[in-house]
Amino acid sequence: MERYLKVLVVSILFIFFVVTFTILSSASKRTLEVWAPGGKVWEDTYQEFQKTHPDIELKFVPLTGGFDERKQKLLSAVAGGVPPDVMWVDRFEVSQWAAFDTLTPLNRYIPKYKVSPSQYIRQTWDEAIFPWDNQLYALPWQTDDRLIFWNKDIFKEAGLNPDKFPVTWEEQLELNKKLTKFDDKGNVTRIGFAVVEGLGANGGEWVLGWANGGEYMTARSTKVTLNHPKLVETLDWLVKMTDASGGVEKAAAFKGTWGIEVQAPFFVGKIAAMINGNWTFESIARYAPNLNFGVAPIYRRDIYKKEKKLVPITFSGGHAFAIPKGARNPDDAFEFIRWITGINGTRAYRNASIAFSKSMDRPWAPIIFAYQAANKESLEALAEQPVTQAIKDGVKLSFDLMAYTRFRDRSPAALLMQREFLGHARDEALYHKKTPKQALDDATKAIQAELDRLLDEWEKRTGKKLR
Amino acid sequence: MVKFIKNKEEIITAYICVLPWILGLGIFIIGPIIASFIFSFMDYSVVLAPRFVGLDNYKKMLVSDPLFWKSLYNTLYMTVIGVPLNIILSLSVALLLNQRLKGEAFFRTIFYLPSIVPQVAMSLLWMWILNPQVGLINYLLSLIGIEGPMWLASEKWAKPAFIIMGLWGIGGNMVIFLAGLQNVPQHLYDAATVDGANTWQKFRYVTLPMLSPTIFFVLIMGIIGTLQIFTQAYIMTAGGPMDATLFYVYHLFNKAFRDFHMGYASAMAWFLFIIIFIATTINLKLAPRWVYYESE
Repeated sequence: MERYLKVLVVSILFIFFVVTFTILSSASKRTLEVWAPGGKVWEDTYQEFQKTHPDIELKFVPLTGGFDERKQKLLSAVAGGVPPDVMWVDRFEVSQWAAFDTLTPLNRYIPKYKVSPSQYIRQTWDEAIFPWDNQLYALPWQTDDRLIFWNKDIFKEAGLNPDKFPVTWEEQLELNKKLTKFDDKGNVTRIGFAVVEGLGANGGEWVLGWANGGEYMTARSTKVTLNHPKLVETLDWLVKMTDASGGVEKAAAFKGTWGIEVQAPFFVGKIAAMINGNWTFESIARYAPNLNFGVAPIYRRDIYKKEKKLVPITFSGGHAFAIPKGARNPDDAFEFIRWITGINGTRAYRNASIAFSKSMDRPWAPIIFAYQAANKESLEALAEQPVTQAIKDGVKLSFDLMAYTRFRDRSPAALLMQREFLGHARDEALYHKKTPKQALDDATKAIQAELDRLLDEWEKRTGKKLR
Repeated sequence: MVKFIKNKEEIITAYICVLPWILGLGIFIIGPIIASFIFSFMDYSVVLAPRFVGLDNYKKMLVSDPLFWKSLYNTLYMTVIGVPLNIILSLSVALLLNQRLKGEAFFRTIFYLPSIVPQVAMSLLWMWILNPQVGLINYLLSLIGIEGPMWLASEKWAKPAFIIMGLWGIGGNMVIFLAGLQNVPQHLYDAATVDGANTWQKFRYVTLPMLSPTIFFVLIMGIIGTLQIFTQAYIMTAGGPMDATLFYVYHLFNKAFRDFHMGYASAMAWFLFIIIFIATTINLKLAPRWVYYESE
């Protein structure tokens, strides 16, 4: 019996100490728990916050793992009632988090902290608003956009004007046919113009849909319009483009031969032209500084067809900082996200990333911040960087294009929409299992069913009516 | 008879000692099993309160989710074709390596080696081997004048590609068969020789019956393992092309951790349990017809 008592007493004492210690340590200082990316640049940025906010104790937890894994961690923490005070989210998922009632609306903080929507790139701010209740749920941190990149040497070799990229879809299809190359066994050895996500392009589907005048959802995201005639037409063209470069199976097989970094397909001439993100500039500077490349915006096809006018269009994603529901220190949390997305935080991040690139002996090119004034500083910093004029001009163009950018429709079914439009439904068309119309009709039905389910749930819970 | 338990005090001490394990089992294994059963009748998205929906999840699964059937078909395809192939091949290799020849240990190691490669590393390696343009398999096929298929890029060939890749890892089963072969008593072979049996007859009437419990074990484990196939598809094909490698557990994973339909995913998990249960029961029922236990 004595031994049993001893074990019991020791365990009780142990638990008592742990509990007391936890309570004491959390009560003594205003701690702020932040779940965000790690690494040298980020950690330097957090340190700068800590320096300027000595009364807040920043507890930083680096987010590791991929997209899915990070999401699961945050979800379990929120569900378990122990969320961090601040979390880093993919902006196009903000609406999903909001629909699940996992985030704190930020509207009431805006006047108090003198934050104004006009300080941020409009689209990035809007993307953080949940369209069902029109509340702001995150502050946008960074963004990106998509452009056409092409290899001028390949253009010259093929007898094309290296300084001009064709504008119409018909011309672009011709270009693709002309520049796609096969070996004697029929294997693809070069894709002429990559426009399909995962097969050399990034974000092509979205931006081309808008360029063609298509809409993916209604304004308040209650109805899916993925089978919009203009989107069907877009998908049809994507199928033609893919068939022109050997068909999807051969393109996928070709993809298996691609490398990364200096061996990336665009840098070694395995892709002649592509729609890709502005981050490509930094990759060029780092891995292919002598690449003779051209860059141009994607233009609105609908407007061009009517008025012969060139109006750019692009597509932006990016990240944001949000405050989970049930955060213990929401006021300091807002101060943190205001700071980190604002002029001081972005400056700290930029300085840290320039210093880091320098220490690694790498060239540096800026990312696009959501905070407008920060981007001016970024371009000034770029001017002093030892990168080619072509890269500087390209970066400048990518910054200017933000005025024309759009973002994926905000809805709790956004991820499903992405899986269909960049995956399942698109592949059904690319593999010729269904016509583009049939594929998008079916996808529309599936996404709408999921959306209706979420809407039912949301309307019941909030007592609001959207339909 | 030895008296193990002396008094009450010792019983209590014993329970305290195993308490961490009991708690772990309860909280992390039995608890979730019960919870998933309850959630399978609920609409549950983790963060919002679960809502009871009766049999809706099961109904939706069986009636209105085409991907459910597709993923089930894909998984059964892998099981029906992959498992027997795996058994035949691993048994054949085991028989070859049971010949008491020179270099036997070396070859056993060589054949066993792939099965200790982690699934992730194996997947990455096979993405190269299966590459239609620069991969080893299509290169070898081209040497004998065959134009290899598109493998993972092809809807038709993606599953066979996974099966071939699975055959690379027969080492685990091979070792089990080798152990089984060691247990076949030599006197049975001797008796068969005296009776004038040839090699095939010896295999058919001595080795196979004596090995049947081992084959049975490998069969059951193979079926259960293959019904849960996930990693390769997650890494190599993301379920594509055209959902050709969207396996059951992968679909379940998508539903649970991408769409947060935990209720639906729980229902899927229980359905899989039922399938495994039925498959195993059928196997157990059929077993007496072909599995021979020496002790009987």
